[in-house]
Amino acid sequence: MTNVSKKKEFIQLYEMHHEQFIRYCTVLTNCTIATEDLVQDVLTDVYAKFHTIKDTSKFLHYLIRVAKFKYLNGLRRKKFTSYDSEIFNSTLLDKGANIEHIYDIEVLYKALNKLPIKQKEAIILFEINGFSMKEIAEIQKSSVGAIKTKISRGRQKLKTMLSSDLTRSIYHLKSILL
Amino acid sequence: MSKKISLNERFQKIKQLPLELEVEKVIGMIESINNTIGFHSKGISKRKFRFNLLLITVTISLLIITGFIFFSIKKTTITPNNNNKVNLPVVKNDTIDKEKTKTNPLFIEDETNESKEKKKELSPSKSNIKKIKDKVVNSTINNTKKGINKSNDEVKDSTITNTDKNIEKVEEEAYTPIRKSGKKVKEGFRKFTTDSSYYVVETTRKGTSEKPKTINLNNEKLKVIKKELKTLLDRQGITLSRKYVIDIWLNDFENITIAGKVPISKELQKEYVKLLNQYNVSPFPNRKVLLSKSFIIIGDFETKQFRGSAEGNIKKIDEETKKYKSIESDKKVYDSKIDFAIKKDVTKDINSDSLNLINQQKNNPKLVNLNNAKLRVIKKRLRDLLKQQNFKIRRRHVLDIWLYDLDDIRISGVPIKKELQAEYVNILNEYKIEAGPNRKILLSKSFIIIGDFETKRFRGSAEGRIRRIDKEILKDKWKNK
Repeated sequence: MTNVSKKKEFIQLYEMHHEQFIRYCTVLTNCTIATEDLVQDVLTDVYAKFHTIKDTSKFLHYLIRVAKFKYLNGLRRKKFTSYDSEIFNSTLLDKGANIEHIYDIEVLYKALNKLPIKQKEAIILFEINGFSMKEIAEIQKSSVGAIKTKISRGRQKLKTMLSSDLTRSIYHLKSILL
Repeated sequence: MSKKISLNERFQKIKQLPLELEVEKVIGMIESINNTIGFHSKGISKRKFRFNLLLITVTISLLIITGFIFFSIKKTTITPNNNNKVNLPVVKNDTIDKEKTKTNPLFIEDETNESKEKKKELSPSKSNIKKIKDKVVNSTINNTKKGINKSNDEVKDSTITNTDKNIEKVEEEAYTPIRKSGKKVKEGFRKFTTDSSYYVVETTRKGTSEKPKTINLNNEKLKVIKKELKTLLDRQGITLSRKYVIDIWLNDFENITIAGKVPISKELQKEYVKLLNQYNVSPFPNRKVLLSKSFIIIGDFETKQFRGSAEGNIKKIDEETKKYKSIESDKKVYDSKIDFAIKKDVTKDINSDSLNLINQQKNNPKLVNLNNAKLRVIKKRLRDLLKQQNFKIRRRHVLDIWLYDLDDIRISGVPIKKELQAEYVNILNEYKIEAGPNRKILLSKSFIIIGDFETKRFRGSAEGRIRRIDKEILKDKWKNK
């Protein structure tokens, strides 16, 4: 396989899964710069070992798995420690996103960051990327039942966290008003 | 802001958000990565591989070189001490002084090798001995040669040690060495020169060349010898006592000495020889007569064992024979091969009549294995016999009957009446109780123990109160023995 043909094939495959992959990375990192770094790292690695991928239908799975490990490595090296909300919000605003939406999403991201990584990943893949339980089980190399429990528990945790956050914000508003 | 939004709605909002990175940007990224990957990753990996390969090759080559150097050095250091490999028959070196070579008998011997070879043919029995000697001579010559060449003190030391070793070899095979300093070499002696001392190996054989018989005398004869020796010693003013043991050396009948020091007068010596000849006692290395008021021992006191006859107090005899080790005299030299032959033949010559220690003491007698009923009967019978000799059996007091020798049974150190001895022996024979070095019978009113009280264990049979038996068996006095 020549470099040109390899590149073409890789780009074709990537174009098919671009949206899902970028969303996954953004939710993981919650930062525009970090997502760019992560995407670049993942793509370089995957491209280097592209010839080893046998089943191209699971290309996205492969990308997601690499992205997860890269993200975890980054966390260990304190690469993605700070959550830079200002930059994130400004980029979204530039692209025409609603402020209310951005605020709601920010709260959700914060709540998601408090979950354990496997629960967080399962919820992202299921709720945002739209993967089936079976696919998530394949990506995480566990059973469907385990994924179900992870998702349900994660959701419950998120609900409690978000409700408490809401009450806290109401208290905060009341204190300001009174 | 304070509106309640469900979780699903929030997720939907995320989905509706515009992507942070557009496709074109990412594709541009991929294209840029494409070029860099090709150069970057492959290049690094190749470089690493090459570097590793270089490292491995360098280390392996270094290891091989060091190993080669190390072993080569080791070989060179070992060679001077290795006598077996060095076999230079003739020495011709300018560095060695001519005068030395002339005076040195080692070199003279090498020059006359041809004439000796002829002699070898004439006397084939001594051929082996000569071969060994020649080996020694050759090795010493080589070593001395090296020592002179290097003019190194260390090498000289090594030559000395080598000669020592070689002479020891000779000693084992045919001769025993005598170390003298500054003495002239006599006929029949071979001299090995070193700077510090002379090593002389004696070729002549002292003592009797014939194979001497082991002393095999019965009790009566021994008693007579003891009496006569006592009178002879009295004449010289030496009296026998129980404490002190007099040892008469019978190495050489021309020079009989007491304890190897006190010589006997010529008149008496003739009488000694007469007496000994009467009972076929011939001179032999390590042959002695040990005499005290309570015993007489005549035999060969070899390094590890005693061969001969004895009469008297067996305990003391045993002590003497055990503690006595043959004194290897520096003056007298004997053929070790003859000694070895005697050791082999001695067992055949022993008669059952004589009071021979080998027959009396069985090192491994049969284990005492008796049931309670038999033990009770033995106890009763022994008690009856003991009563006849006024021994009282009590509960607390324990009588111990030593079965060291069935001819001399002792009860708590007191010898048995001669009239009763046969009855004791009968009882023991009936129940197949053999004599042994550690065999005893412990007897009290409450128990009887028969067995071997060895240093670390007891092997035998017992009957009676278990506590008392345990106490007796576990007593320290047996263990310490």
